[in-house]
Amino acid sequence: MKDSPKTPFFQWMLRECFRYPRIAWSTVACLFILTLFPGVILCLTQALGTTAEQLLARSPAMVIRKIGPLGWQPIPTEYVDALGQIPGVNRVEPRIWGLAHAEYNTFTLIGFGPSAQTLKEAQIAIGAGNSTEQLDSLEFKTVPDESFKVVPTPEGLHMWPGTALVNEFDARRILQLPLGYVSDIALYFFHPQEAAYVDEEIRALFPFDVQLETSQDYAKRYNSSLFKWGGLGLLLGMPMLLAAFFFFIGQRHYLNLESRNIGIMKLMGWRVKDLLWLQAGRALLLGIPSVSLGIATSYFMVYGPGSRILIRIFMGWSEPTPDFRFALGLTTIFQLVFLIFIPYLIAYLLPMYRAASRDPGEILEKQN
Amino acid sequence: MKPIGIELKHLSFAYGNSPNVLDGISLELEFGSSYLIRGNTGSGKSTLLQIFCAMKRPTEGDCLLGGQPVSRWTAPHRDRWRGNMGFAPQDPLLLPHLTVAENIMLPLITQNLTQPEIDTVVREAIEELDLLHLATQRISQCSGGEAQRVSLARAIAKQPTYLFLDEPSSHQDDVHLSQLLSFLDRKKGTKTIQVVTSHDPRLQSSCHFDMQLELSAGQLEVL
Amino acid sequence: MILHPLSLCILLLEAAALFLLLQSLPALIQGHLKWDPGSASVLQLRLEPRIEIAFFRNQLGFGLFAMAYLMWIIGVSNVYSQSIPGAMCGLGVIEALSRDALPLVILKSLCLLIYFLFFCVRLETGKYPLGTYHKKTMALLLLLLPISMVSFWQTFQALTSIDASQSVHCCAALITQTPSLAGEIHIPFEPWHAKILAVLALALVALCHLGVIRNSNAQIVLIPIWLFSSHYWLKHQILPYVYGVLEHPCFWCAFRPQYYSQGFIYLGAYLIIIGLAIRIWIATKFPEHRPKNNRGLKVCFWVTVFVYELTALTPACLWKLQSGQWIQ
Repeated sequence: MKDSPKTPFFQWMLRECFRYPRIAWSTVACLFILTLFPGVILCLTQALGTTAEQLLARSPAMVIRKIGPLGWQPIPTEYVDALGQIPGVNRVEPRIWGLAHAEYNTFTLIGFGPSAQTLKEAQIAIGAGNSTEQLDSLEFKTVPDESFKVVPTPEGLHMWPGTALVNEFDARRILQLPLGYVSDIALYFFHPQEAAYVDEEIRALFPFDVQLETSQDYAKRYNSSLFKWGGLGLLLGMPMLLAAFFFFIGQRHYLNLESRNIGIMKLMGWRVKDLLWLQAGRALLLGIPSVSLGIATSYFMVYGPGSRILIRIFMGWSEPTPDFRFALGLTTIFQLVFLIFIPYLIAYLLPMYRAASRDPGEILEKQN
Repeated sequence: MKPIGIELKHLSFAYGNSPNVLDGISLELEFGSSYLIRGNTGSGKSTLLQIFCAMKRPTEGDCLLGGQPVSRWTAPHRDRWRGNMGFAPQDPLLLPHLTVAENIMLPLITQNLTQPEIDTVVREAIEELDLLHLATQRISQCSGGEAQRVSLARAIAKQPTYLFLDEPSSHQDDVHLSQLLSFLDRKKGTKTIQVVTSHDPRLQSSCHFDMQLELSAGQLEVL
Repeated sequence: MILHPLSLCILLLEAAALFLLLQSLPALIQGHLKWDPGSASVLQLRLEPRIEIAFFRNQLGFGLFAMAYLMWIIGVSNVYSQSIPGAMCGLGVIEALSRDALPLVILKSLCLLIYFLFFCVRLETGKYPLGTYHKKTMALLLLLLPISMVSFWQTFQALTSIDASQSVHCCAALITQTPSLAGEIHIPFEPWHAKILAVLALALVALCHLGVIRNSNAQIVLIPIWLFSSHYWLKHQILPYVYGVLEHPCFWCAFRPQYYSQGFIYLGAYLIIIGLAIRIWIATKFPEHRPKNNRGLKVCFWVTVFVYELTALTPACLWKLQSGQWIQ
C-alpha cells in the first residue's frame, strides 16, 4: 500500500477531509440524524409488515362469513362437510368468536380451539393489558347474572391484550349464538395461494350471500395502509431534501471561497476528475460511516429495546405490542440510500464540478 | 536540429476590443533549450506566458505546443496537457492553509508517483532552494521571497516537459538567484523546454539561457 | 401507491434527473446553435465550460434515471404486489397500472436508451480535443428532453392510478386469456426453432466482432433478433424448469424470491448485452475509431452471453439430474 501510486492521493484526501474538523464532524452528525428519522419510519413500516405477514402465515387461508342487510350474521354449520370436499382444502374450522361488552371493557371473545376446551364453565382467561391486570372476575352485559372467574392463560397459549377465552358453551351464551350456527368458517388450504381460485365454487355451495376473505388480501390491505402511513411519514418529515438543498448551498458557498485554491490546483496539473475524486472521497469518508450508523441505529431502535416507545409515539398504541422479528429488508436500505445518500453525494459533487470546470485563468483573474 | 517544442504562427492576442497586445508573432522554440523573454512592464510577457500555459486563447494565429494547438482545446484536454507543464507565475499562487512541503507536493500527487518518490523530489527541491528550515511552516508565515521560492520549487520539482517562469527573480537576492539558476541547469534536459520572462538585468547577464528575446510593441525579436 | 416510500424514491430520482436536464437547457440550445470549436470569441469561451457542466449534469442524470428504473423494476416485480389484491407477480402489478402500462414501459425504456446513447456518444466525442462533435451530444440531450418529461408524467400518473383496494387478475388468468400469435395463425414455431435463430444471430455477431463481417450496422439488427428469439426460448422452454410446471410463460414470476430472483439476472443480461452492443457500434461511428479499444467491451459482451446461457440452462440441467428426465 505504501508503494502504490494511489497512496499519495488517498493520504491527501484524508488530510483534506479532516483539515477543518468542526465542519467534518458536524457533517457526520447532520447526516446521522437525517438518516435516523426516515430510517426509523421505514424500519418500523417494514417491521410491522413483516411481523403481520408472519402472524398471518399461521392464520386460515380463507374465512367465510354470512352477509345480511345489517352486516355479518351467524352462519349455519351444515355446509362444513361440503366445504371439506373442495379440492385443496386441508381443514375446515367453524369458529365462535365476537365482541363481548363487560362493565368497563370490551373483549374479543374466543370460544373455539383446543385451549378453549380446557376451560371449565364460568371460567375466563384474558390477555394481559394495562386495564385488565387487577381483574378477578368479569360480568358481561348479555348474561348479567353470571360472573366469570378470571383464570391463568392456558399453558403454551399467548393472548393479546383485549382478547378473552372461554369454552364453547359459555361463548354461545355470551354471544347469543344458537346451536348449529357459528360466527364464521375458516378454511385451511394445502397451498394457501389456491384460496384465491376457488371462490366461485365456495359461493355456489351457499344459498345466501357470503363474504370470502383470504389472508393474502388481508395482508395486502394491511401492507397498503402501512406503506401509506410510511410514505406520509416520510413526506411530512422530509428534512433530507431540505438538508440536501442546504448541503448544496453550503458546498457552493464553500467552493466559491475555495475557487482560488481550485484554480491553483488546476494550474498545477490537477484535472477535473482528480478534484471530483477528492470531493467524492471526502463525501464518502464522511457519508458512509454516518449513514451506516444511522441505518444501524434505526434498526436497533425498531428491533431493540426502544421499539415499544416508538410504537407509542408513532402509532399511539398503549397496550403491549408484539416483539418484532428481525428482517434485514434490502428494499428499506436501498430506499434510505437513495433518499439520503444519493442527494448528499450530488450536493457534494455538482458544485465541485461547476467550480472545477472553470478555466484556471478565469478563476485567478476574478480573484485579482 | 532539435525538435520544436513551441511554435508560434502569426500569433495575435487582444483583450476585448483593445489593440493587439501580441501582434502576428511567428517563432519556433526548441526542446532542450532555455529562453529568456525580456520586455518592459506591460509589454505582454505575462500574456504570452499565459497563452503558452493554455490559460488564454489567441485571437488570431496559433500557438502549437508539441505540434498541438493546445490553447484551442476544450477544458478537459487542456487540463490533461497541464500535467506536462510547470508554471510559476508572478504572484506565487500558493495555498495558504498548506505547509511549504505540501505546496511543493501539490503537482506531484496526480503524477502517478509513489510516496517515497514524491518525498525524494520534494526534499531535493527544498534543499536546492534553501527552504529546509521552512518545510513544515504554513505559507502565511513565509516572507515574499520565501513564498516565491516555494512557487518556483513547486514548478521545477516535477521536471516538467514545459517550464514557464514569470519574473522568478523579483524578490530574490543574488545568492538565492544563483541557487535558482543552478537548479534550472540541473533540470534542463533534451526533452524539456524552459521559458523565463523577466526584466531583471541579473538574468539578462547570466549565461544560463540559450537565447534571449525582446518583446516590444507586440513583436518578439531574437537578440 | 403514490405514497409508498419506493414510489417516492422513484419519483424523486426521476424528478432530479429531469431537473438537471432542464437546468442545462439554455446552454444546450445556445451551444447547438452557436458552437464554434477552437474559436476565441467571447461567446465560445463562455459556452465551453457551460457545455461541460451540462454534460456532467446529465451524466449524473443518467445515473439517477438508471437507479429509478432499477427501483421501478424492483417495485413492479417484488414490492407493489404485496399491496395489490390478486397480484402475485409483476404481471398483476402491470395489470393494476391498466391503460398506462404499455406507454409507460415504452417511454421509460426509450428514455433509458437515449440517456445511454448520450453517455456513449459523450465518451467518444470527449476524446476529440477541439470538441468537434459536441453538437451531436447536445442534439441527443435536446431530443431526450420531451421524452423525459412525458416519461416522468406517465410514471406519476401510473403510480397514482394503482388502486390497492381493487383486485386484479394475475399471470395464471391473464396468460391463458392472451392467445399467442403463433397459436392464432398456426405457425409451427417451437421454442427450439427460436433457440436456433438465437444461436445463428449470435454467430453472425461473433463474425462482426472478429471483423469478418465489416458492416458495423449489422449488430444493431442482429442483437434484437437474438433478444426476441432467446427470450421466447427462455419463456417457453426454460421457465417450466424454473417453476416446476409444464407451461407457465410468465417472465415476471422469475423475479420472485422463491425462484431465486433469476429474473434480475436475465433482465440484467439483456440490458448489458444491448448496452455493450450499442457501445461497440457507436465507437465505430467516429473517424478515430481504434478497434483495439473495443476488445475489452467485446470480452464483456461474450462473458455476459455466457453467464446468461449458463443461468438459463442450469435449472433444466438440475431438473434432469434430479428427476432423470426432461419436462414433457
